[in-house]
Amino acid sequence: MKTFWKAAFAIAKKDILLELRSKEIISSVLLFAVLTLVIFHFAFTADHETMTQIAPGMLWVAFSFSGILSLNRAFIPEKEDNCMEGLLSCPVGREAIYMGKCLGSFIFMLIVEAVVIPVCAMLFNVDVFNPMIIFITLLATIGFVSVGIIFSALSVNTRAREMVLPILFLPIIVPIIICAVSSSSAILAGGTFEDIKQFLLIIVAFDVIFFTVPLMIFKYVVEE
Amino acid sequence: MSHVIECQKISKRFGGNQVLKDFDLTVDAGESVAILGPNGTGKSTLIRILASVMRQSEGKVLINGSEMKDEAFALRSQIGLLSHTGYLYTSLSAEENLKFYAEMYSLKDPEKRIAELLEKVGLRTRRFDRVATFSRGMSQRLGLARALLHSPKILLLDEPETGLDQEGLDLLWSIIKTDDPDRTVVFTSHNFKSTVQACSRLIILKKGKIVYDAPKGDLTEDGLQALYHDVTGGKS
Repeated sequence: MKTFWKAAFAIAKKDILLELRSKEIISSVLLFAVLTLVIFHFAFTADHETMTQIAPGMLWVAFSFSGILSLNRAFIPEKEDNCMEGLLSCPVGREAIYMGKCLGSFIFMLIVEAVVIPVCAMLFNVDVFNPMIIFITLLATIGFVSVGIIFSALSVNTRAREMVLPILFLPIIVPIIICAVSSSSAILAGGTFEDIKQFLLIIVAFDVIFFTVPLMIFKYVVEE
Repeated sequence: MSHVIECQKISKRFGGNQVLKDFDLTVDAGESVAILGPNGTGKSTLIRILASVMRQSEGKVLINGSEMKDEAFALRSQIGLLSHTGYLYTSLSAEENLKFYAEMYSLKDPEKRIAELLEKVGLRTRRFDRVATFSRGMSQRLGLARALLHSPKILLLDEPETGLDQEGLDLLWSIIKTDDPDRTVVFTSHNFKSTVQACSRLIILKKGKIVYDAPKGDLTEDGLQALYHDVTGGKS
């Protein structure tokens, strides 16, 4: 177990170091996410109540599409110089590689969310800093990244990976996005934990499934 | 006594393409086995199966008597792998690459081993430079340092000479021999000169099957070339 986490953290640390060097993912993803919100800001001129209803949707449009951009590049470092084969030859489980890649992508998504949420609050004047909304976002991000990494590993060797990933990934992730948007809207409209409990349960169930199944099948994806 | 490497009737198919079929091979400790053969004959596939980065469709691979399928974790720490790419992250420095792999291999005293290997491959002064700035020969030497990092008892090399000049190749082989003379080495190659210099046993594959397997003896480069053409019915 110690080796598992050591390897997973080493992979995540390596991914962060690579990103700090190139800034390829963060710069493009942040620009895309913020630009999306700015466009929405100019497209909609609604009263505060309407904004409260549509803000979570806009937030998750920004998260989802910028997240896909980020996931598209998750395995690019492993593709260069055939590093995936180097990783596979190490005495660590394939599960540790999957966990490491998930951790790295999760941290990238958190950085994006940490920037996009204040921008959303500023542009639309809605209280998206609500702890419940942040909790929902974190919960949904876990499922988003868990399933995204497996599809990223699948699509990295295809010629049209930029198209393949969203086509495979978006239909699977839709339930999590719907639940995250619906529960966030309910909280912004003054709802309580009881009102969103069913949505949270669905997100947690998806998180568990989307984390466990990819963890089990990752070796078949990367070994062939 | 069990062999260091033992392949029992391994087969590998890619879709409808059968690359290896009922392939048997045994390698004993300290042997330096060269595997030659035309392109597409299964050399790289065999190396990847032995390194457990690819699974065979059928058959068994045993390392020191233990089946790879059951004990891949422990067995991988006994194997070093280098192909025509060094498995290096080009945006990281030489030292960062080795530190990352040292963590993956859970090395006890990585700093000492990394310093020793960087000295050995002649990259100590370039240790803080990004791999992207390295020449092909330097990358391959760093790749070798990565493969030797955990002092493996078995070294698998898949066409390590690709892109290297003779000087670079001689240096590569001298490092391999001086790091641990008793190491078992299995390598694939298209270079007759380095094959003759480096191997103690010669295997030639054709269409996924062994068509020649014998100790090298006093075979010369020209002799090997003639033998290869005779056995495979073509040029390398």
